[in-house]
Amino acid sequence: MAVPLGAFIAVSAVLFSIGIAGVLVRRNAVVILMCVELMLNAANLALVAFSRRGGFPDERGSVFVVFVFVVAASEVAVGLAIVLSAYRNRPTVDVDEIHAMKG
Amino acid sequence: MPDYNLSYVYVLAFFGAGVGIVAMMMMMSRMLAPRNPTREKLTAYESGEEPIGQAWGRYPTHFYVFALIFVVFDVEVIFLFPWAVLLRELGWRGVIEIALFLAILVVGLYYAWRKRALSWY
Amino acid sequence: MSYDLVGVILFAVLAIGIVGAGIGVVLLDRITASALLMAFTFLNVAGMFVLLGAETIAAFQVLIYVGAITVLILYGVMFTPQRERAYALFFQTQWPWAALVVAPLGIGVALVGLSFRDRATAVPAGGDLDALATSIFRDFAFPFEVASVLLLAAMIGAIVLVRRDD
Repeated sequence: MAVPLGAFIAVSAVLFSIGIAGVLVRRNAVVILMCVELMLNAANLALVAFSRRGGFPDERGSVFVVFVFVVAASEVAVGLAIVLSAYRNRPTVDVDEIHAMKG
Repeated sequence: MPDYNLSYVYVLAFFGAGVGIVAMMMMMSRMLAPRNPTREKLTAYESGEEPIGQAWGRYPTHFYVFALIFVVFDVEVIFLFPWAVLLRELGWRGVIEIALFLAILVVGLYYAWRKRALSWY
Repeated sequence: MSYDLVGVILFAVLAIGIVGAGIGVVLLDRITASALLMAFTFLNVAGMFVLLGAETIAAFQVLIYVGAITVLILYGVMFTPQRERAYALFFQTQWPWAALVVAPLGIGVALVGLSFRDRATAVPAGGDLDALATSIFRDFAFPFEVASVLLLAAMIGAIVLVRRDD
């Protein structure tokens, strides 16, 4: 394969930065969850790329990716549930307006 | 090794053919079919309900639970696949592992059922 | 045409897809467009996994991210309708500071990443599913069970949070 592993790592870094920028910059809580998913995906890409390094493929990197899938699904399920329950109290998903802890 | 990876070029060709056929069908119907839109033809369908208000209204949030349970059991599938492939090599140990895994998840399903989260209305 | 050239072209197409769609997720105003571009990004990452020889992971990526998580996010979009608002209220007020921190960080890490010059090692024909399954069920049996506990906790927690108050 002619593409060096570093190219995959670079794409992963760029995608992770896009995710961070989205979390820091956007106001919509659902979009923030999407950006967290982008960051997790960038981490997956880096894990798989590094597991292809060295003499023979090391599947432990892929196993971590499978566990990241589990964590990502749980995270988005609970995160959206929190967003929905906050939305039920006040119909907004703007994270600048969701600041009251007492429901 | 190159032969194995080159086999994905066939997958790509298949993908391209799929997109191309759909695009060709839509273009052909656009070019060949007579188009004469009148007001009656542009309504939803004959005797259909006229839509009122916007589609993006407020839905009751308990429908979310169905999507949630779908996602949890979708994640379960990614563990069932490798187990099914190695069924013989893993033997009883694998059966016990996967049975414990499923039992823990069924507890969640039982909880959802007891909390009446699975009722449709 | 040799495989090397095809690989480079495929990598370039996938990388442009990932970066472009990711920027679209952050910058687009329509939230459904953001969600669908997120799914497109996931699909391109799955293509990267195939390029790296991790076909099982690519299939799982399509199953979990493009299938399940996108559906869940679209459900979340459906449940939270919003009024039209001015585009000025689109970004947080501190976005210049965020850009100032994130841009050098991303570029720096990408440059460090590019210094890995070695090629991906060849995966034995037949895919990575056997090795992956052996690793999960023999070496990682206990984390595998803990994963089910995590899923159970997420399921119960989400049900408690969205349950009707009755």
